Order: sequence, then C-alpha cells, then structure tokens
Amino acid sequence: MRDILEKLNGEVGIRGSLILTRDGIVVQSVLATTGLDEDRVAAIAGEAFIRMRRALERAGVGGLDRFLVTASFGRMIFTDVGRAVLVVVADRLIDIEMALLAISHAAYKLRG
Amino acid sequence: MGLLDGWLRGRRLAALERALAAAPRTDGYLELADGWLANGRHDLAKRALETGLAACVDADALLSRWVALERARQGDEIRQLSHALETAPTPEAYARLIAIYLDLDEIARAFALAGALRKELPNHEAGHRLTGELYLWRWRQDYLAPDGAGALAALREAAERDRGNYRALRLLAEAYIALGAGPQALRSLAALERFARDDDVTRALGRAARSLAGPPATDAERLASIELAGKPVFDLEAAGLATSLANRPQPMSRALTGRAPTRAQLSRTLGELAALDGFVAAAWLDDGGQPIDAAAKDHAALPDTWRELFASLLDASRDSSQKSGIGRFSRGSLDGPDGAIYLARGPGLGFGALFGPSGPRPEAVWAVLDALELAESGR
Repeated sequence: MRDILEKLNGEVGIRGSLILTRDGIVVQSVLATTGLDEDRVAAIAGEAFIRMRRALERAGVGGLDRFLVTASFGRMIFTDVGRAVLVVVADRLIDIEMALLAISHAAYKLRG
Repeated sequence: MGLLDGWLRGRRLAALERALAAAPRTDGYLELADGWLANGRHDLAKRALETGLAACVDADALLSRWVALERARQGDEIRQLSHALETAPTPEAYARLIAIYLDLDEIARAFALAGALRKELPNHEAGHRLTGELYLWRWRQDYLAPDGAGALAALREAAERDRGNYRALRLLAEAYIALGAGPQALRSLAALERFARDDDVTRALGRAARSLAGPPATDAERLASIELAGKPVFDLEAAGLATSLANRPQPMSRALTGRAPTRAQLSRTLGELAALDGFVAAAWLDDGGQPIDAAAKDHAALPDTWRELFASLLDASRDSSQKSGIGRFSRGSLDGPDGAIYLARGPGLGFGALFGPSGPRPEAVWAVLDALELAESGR
C-alpha cells in the first residue's frame, strides 16, 4: 500500500496521500514531505469523511465515488476504494485531469 | 519559408489579440500564448496570459499556464540557488529561492525553506522574518486566524533578533494596523522612527495607526473577528500602504472585491439550474445553513433533507480545508452512483446543487460553474 501511495505522490502536483477505513481510521499515510502536519491532516481527513458519509446517508443519497475539494492553496480528493477511502492532497494549480487519472489508477490497484 | 511562416503567424496572432481585446475569452488567451510560444516569443506569451488574467473571470487555466511558463524560465535559477544552499547557504540565497517558489505558487516549499533557514541560523532575523512574510502574505488572501497569528509571532521574533530591521518592523506595524490594534502598531512604528523618522511610509502608517479606535481586544479576538468578516479592520492595500509580498498576477475572481451577488442573480441562477436535465435541488444558504433562496424538482419548497445535506457538506469541506492547511474552501464536487453534488462557498454565502445519476450533461455544467463563480465572487 505504501508503494502505491509513494508512486502516486510522485505525480506532478500531488503533495501527499493516505488511506482511511470507512470509519475514518488511518491505515497508511505518506504526507511527510509536503510541509503539512501529517497527523493533523490524517485526523482531519478522517473526520471529514465520516461527516460527509453520515450527511449522505441521512439524505438517502447513497455512496460516494469521489469528492473533490478546492481551497485557496490546495485540493483534497477523496476516492472510494471499496472497503477504504483514498485521500490525496494536491496543489491548487494541478493538472486535474492527469491527476484524476493517476488517482483512479491508484484506486484500481488498492481495490485489488 | 521559415521566416515567412513566422511573419504570417505573427500577423495572425496580432489579429487574435485585437479580437480578444474586444471580446476576452480564456481559451482565446491560451491560444494566443501558445501561438507566441511557437514563435519563440516567451515575453509576448507571458504578456498574453497576464492580459487574459486581468480580463477573464474564470481564469484558473491562464494562471496554471503562467505558472508553468515561469517555472520553465526560472528552472535554471532554482537549480543554481538550490546548489548554493547545499554548498554555501546564505540568507540572501534562501530569500531569493523563497520568492521564486512564492511566485510559482509553491507555498509549501516556500514555508519549508523558511523553516530550514530558521534551523540553520536560529539567531538570525532572516528566517523568522521570511516566515512572517509568508504567513502575512497568506493571511492577506483569506484572513484565516492561524496565518495571522503565525505572522505576528514570526515577525515579533525577527524584530527581537534585529531591533533595527526596517522590513520586519514595518511588516509588524502593517499587521497590527490591519488588525485594528493601534497601540501595538504605534510601538512598532516608534522603533522604526528611531532611524526612519522622515520616511513617508512610516509617517503614513503612523497616521493610520492613530486613526484606529475601538475597544481593547486580544490579538486572538481580533484575528477571529477578521476571519469571520473576511476583511481587515484597516485595508492597507486599498490605502496604498501595504508592502508588496508577492509578485504574481491574481485571477480576476480574486480581484473582485465587495461585489456580493444580488438576490436577483441568485434567483436567476437557480432558474437556470432547475431547467437542466437531472436537476433535483439547489440552494443558496447563509453562514448558519439557512436557505436564502432554493429550488427543488417536484417540491414547492426545499425539503429539509437537502438543506441539511448541503449545509453539512459545506461545513465538513470548510473545516477540512482550513484545519488541514490548504486554505479557505471555495468549491467542491461529489460524484456517486446516485448522482452528483456541487458545492461552493463565498463570504456569507454557501451554494449546493444536487443532480440525479443522469445529469447534468457536459454542456450544461457551464451553468453550474457560473453558479459556483457567483458564490465565490463576493470577496
């Protein structure tokens, strides 16, 4: 799993990535070289995913394939990989189409 | 033939430039920049992108291309400076490389370098001052409290290490004035006036600091209040007194200030969305998650389920962005087997739209993008 994340992090504009269980628990994270606080980002991503999942369940909207958040200095992309969620932190000015391809590829490998 | 080709291309590009001056388009400016690059004119390509950034609202693609051009141009200097930092590091080399990374929007790298300088030379003012400048620059984008607090702490450290440092003292004074903290600003200016009494800027800052009135408050209280308001107590940039901290063009949407959308615009947007295939519901919400205006297919009013969904997703997105350090949340999109959700947030305004599995069709997504841009426009 770490190899998949490290390869993903090698894509231009991707700053780090982590894998969460559907309960928001961090399974693996590779964020160390991003300048971001690894533990903090992992905890916040987990909490955010749980809140989103519960909001969707309450509304009866169903599952989540991908959630893309854009902020002033970066993006976060949450991708469903079956029993887990892949979270990627990226630069704001990333080539999003190429990045989503790389993320889809990583998600495919993680689903096994 | 080569010379003739180049000349003909140049004429065609000049005609395109004139057409864009009358009717600006993002794709047109990209085409113009690519054309100048093919003609070997990097300077004109950059100018085309900068003109487009000033003229077009939805200009992220132009900014991406501008950054890519700058990155290519500055690659050599980055390599030289990086080598210098490994062999004979100096504060000047660090400062120059930090400025380049800030120009290229590589904020995390800029912060990491400033941190490395603080570690390398902990008693030198430069690492702390550069850290403060980075925090101050970022604070001026979104006015998030942690950035403001980081700027104050780092600039105070810098001033402590070099009590005669003009730049650190001036930036500290500017930060306090933006915060509305007159007495603190005057203390920094008093230190500055010992050696820069006749400086016009120092005098102007002094006048600004003395004009600030209001009840005493802690830095944390002032920062929290400014974060909520989305603007400083005293706008130094509008007054022409703010030290320039970054030298890169801003997208037009960032340059728009004080242009909050009207209710008529909000209603019209909902009408356009409701006409799209796959539309289920959309709403404009206030900061408390209550609907300002809303539309829902097959319902007279927005069901509470959708309102709560939009409000919860907006809150989760806002918190995850700000707390993880990627800045203020502006827009999001969510895809699932049951449909798609689009979200956006601006000062005092949130937007959510829900579409079923079939939509919106690609050409209709422009209507959604317009709505997202509208939500963000009130900065």
